[in-house]
Amino acid sequence: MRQRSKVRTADLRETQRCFFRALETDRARGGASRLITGGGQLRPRQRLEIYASMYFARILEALREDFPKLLETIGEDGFAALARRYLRAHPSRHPSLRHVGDRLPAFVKQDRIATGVPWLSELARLERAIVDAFDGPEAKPLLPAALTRIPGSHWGRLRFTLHPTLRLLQFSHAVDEVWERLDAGKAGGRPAARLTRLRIWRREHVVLRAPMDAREATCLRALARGRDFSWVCVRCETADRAARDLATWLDEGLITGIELSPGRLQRPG
Amino acid sequence: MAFAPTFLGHGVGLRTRHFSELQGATPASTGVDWFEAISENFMIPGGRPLTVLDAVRRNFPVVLHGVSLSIGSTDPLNHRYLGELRALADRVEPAWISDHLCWGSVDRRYAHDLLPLPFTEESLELVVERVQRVRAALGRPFLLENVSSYVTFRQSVIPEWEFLAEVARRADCGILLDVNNVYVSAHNHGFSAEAYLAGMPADRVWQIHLAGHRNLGTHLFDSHDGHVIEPVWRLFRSAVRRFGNVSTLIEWDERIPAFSVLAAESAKAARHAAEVQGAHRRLA
Repeated sequence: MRQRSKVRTADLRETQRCFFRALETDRARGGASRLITGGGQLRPRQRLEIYASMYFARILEALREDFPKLLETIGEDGFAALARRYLRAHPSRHPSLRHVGDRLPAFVKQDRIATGVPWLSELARLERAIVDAFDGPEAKPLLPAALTRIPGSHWGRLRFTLHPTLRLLQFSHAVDEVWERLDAGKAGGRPAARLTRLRIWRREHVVLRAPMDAREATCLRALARGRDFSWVCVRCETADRAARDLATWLDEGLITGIELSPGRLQRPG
Repeated sequence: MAFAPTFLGHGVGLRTRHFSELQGATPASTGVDWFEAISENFMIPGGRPLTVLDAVRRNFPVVLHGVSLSIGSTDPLNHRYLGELRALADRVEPAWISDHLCWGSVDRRYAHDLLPLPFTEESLELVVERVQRVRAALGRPFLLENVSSYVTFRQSVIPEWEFLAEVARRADCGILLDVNNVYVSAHNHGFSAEAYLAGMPADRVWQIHLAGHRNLGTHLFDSHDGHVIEPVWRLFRSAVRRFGNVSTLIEWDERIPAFSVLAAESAKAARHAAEVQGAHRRLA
């Protein structure tokens, strides 16, 4: 059973709360200064400001690393101001800086930075998905040979395990084109207002992405929910087309396991 | 105190910038004896960082060094974090695990910084109890590191070195003595760095950190962005005279140079230690 601390820490807790508030706002530093001794060349308030500037700088740096294209799009000053508003609304709730930007795409959507630029939050969502895929769970892609061992009459009952890093995204703008232009060192420009579906996943150590049409997106979502291959065949209208899609997904490393329903899982060969 | 730390030699931090050149690397090919990995950077589901860490671990001893345990926080211990750290340790089999004598969170809000504690009996009791629980949760040798600091709390009644020594004794943990942090804090607070070293229990100092810092005029700032400066090397030599051969690591986290520069700094630490040890032997 997890034990709670039996140590009485009322004074320390109040000190820590006061100190943390001083990290967040200039206004709180006056009160927190009373906790600190002076001396040397720095007044208590200046000593607190060292910590306050480090607090913001470290989180800003983490956001810059995770959202480089958003940073390039809105500029250093705009990004820093956005980060300050974001941090006020969503202080970090996770021990790892890896998660500090989890809520930034949703925040951008309702923030003033997105006024007249509705696709900014979509660009942020694309960048977040790339970060998530980069260090998402491992899984070995299924080798196509594993399918050849299954009789054709059973294919309709096949269920697939998709790569755990796979994310199926939909945007109202072609933000992937902005991302690519920026990545190539060109001006990002404005994306076309066009429904855009992307799949993002990792193969080996490389994060990949590919566009999808509505049918393909629907089929992959259905497979992710456990639908079998016969469902895909119906959606594709012809078995040939479904087989071509399946070959593509296998080739891209999107499929990591198969199961004959009801039956047992086939591991990558 | 059942644990007797192995002397790992002289190492460097494992940083992303050097990943590509460390695949298949060995102590002979790099000139460094061991690596320290920042635990949180590898507490991830998968991907390249873990692959590199596994590859490095095949040829080197590795130590896990955390920044987010928040041992001095009045929040409850984060058991999910501890579970993930233990899982990483089971994968890596580190020589030991370390974190900092500080706090970094309150009311479940994380500062992602190493915030100083008031050195009081209240803090001491809290940290001792939490270190004991962390050691039990991790099931591995655990070390606490002194941090650089820029404030002194009015409430503090115990010198930092006495506080750290007492935590190590009562909680039965090791000390990761950051010689650069001793130097920086001694300057910032006006105490004697040598008095700090003299206050360390020699049998508890299991690892040493060395790093660069910046003089900002009004204070020294622990920047980890350059070479170890000469006065810190002198303090390191003093530490080696007091504590003998202790596993020593160069930290360099900003403006990270080529690996060869890091390896040269580590070799310099080895030379300083060897000179001090040689002088000791000649005197004996």
